Amino acid sequence: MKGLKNRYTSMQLREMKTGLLFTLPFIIGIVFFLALPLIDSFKISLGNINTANGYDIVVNGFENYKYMLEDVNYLEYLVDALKNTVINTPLIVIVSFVIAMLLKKEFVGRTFFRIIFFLPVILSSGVMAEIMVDVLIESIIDPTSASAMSKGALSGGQELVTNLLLSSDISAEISNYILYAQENISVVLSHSGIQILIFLAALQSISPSLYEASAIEGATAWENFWKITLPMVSPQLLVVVLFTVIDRFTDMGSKIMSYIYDIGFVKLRFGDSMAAAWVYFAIIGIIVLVLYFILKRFVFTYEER
Amino acid sequence: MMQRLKRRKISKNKLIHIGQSLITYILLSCLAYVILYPVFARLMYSFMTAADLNDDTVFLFTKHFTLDNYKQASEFMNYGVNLIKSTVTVFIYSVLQLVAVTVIAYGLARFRFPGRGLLFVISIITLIIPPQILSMPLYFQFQDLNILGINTGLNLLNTPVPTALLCITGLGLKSGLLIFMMRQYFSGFPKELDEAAAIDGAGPFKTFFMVVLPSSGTMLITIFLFSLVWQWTDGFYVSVFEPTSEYLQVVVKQVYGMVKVATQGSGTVDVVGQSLINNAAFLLFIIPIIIVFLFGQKHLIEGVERSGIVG
Repeated sequence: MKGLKNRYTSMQLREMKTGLLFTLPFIIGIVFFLALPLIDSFKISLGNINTANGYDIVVNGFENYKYMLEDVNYLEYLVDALKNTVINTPLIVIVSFVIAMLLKKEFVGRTFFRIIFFLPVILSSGVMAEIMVDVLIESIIDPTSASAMSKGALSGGQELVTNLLLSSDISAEISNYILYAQENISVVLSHSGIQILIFLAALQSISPSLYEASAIEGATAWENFWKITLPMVSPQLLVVVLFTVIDRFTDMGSKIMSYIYDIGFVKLRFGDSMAAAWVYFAIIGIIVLVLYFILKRFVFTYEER
Repeated sequence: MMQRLKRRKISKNKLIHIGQSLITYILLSCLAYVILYPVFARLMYSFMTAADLNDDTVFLFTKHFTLDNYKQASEFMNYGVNLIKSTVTVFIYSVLQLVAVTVIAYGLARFRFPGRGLLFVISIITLIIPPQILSMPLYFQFQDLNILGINTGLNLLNTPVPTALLCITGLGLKSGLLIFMMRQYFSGFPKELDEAAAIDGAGPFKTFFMVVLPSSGTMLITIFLFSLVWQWTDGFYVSVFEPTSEYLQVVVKQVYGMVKVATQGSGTVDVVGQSLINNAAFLLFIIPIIIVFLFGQKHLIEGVERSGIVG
């Protein structure tokens, strides 16, 4: 084996040293605040913490996992979280893409609309979900609620869409999905802020010369969309889909997240809580990995880049 | 003949154009309404009395204007003092997070060294780890600080130290996402500037501080604002590491319960009044961050666009 000095030039060695220096805080953080806690929490999930004398982890096998996987509440919330993500992710991606397409063109008031669609990033993050538990006020301010509609705020829209769907020959499943989308539009919008910005940036970075060339060839707007716009934003589509899936799964307001927190920090069943968290983590990890490798095959790479 | 045809064609194109923008406006306005209505309704209801809420003829516009809800909410939250406390700590956390994220991202984007790819992958993985997994062991670690086997007997819980440590090591709230954005930005940063600085005899650190940072103003502000917004609305880390602190994030959650307890004895406030006070507390909590957002929105939006999650 050759020494480091022989394998790399002195310049390369210097570059390595600088790189490691810049990332040193992160390396320290990873060791102390990521790797060690991860190992600890896995050990806790295999046993419990003996709080009698400080912080003492007792390991005794996979009992907690067995217990949690038989916990009806946990399983219910788990299925809930999966269902929510599966249903809402396509909606969020599609809605934010449509909004980005609308915001792409220059028009009066564009900045104003961009601010509004970004507002939910503030209004729906973190502690907000926990504060907004007041049923009375929630029912008043929900734009799709009965009270707002009866007072004329949104009347007619719901009926119109329902009638349209009934008179068309779209299958029942798709109709239901569209109705669901309409009813939950405020939830969807409240988690689309960053996605809209990513799509907007992607759309604006497409070179206009591509569209000019296709106009000369006589392409229609429909063809332009499928042959130019979609392939060109496909890398960001991948980022947005993964970001949305992760964001939905790790939403602090979701029942499963608060249940895990509750078992651990309120009921003080440390082992169970950690086992529940690890099962959830494994599920998220697998789904994100699988999605990444599937979607990556559809990402179009532009040669010149 | 030709001219008439041409004119008709133009007017047809114009019509299509007007139709398109009309549809755009209508669609965007409807969607904007869905976002704005709840905020507006909350604001309007904050000026109401219980009598207004029970009155069926009142919709959004109060008949008995009052600031009482705000007064009571700010008393329950001890608003003045706690606002300053929250602002100072959140500001410090965000500065630390900004420094860490910038330095780490620059290292990841610019220098080739063994383990670079691994570090990047880890920064992404931190995004999908449920925070509960890490926070429990960390909670016990900080409760009884143990450095490399030496027991210091220090209890750092209920101090800002744990969160500050996580921020400065690039493992704070959503740090992974911020590192990702910053790395993308630095990857697209013209390398010619670095090379020019190197020819002039500047080392990598001098280049970083004198050349790269000064021309990355917008991006730095973007990251700082994101950090500020997320730290301000963070309910998790603060409730794990500083459960008895009196930051606004913590007290705002308790207002509903506090009003209930306070009114059980006297019977002066009913359920409706309780909701109104809670609503005012919510508004008092988000107003500072909304103001920050309105001042910085240009940077936030342009920053994401430029940073190129796109690049």
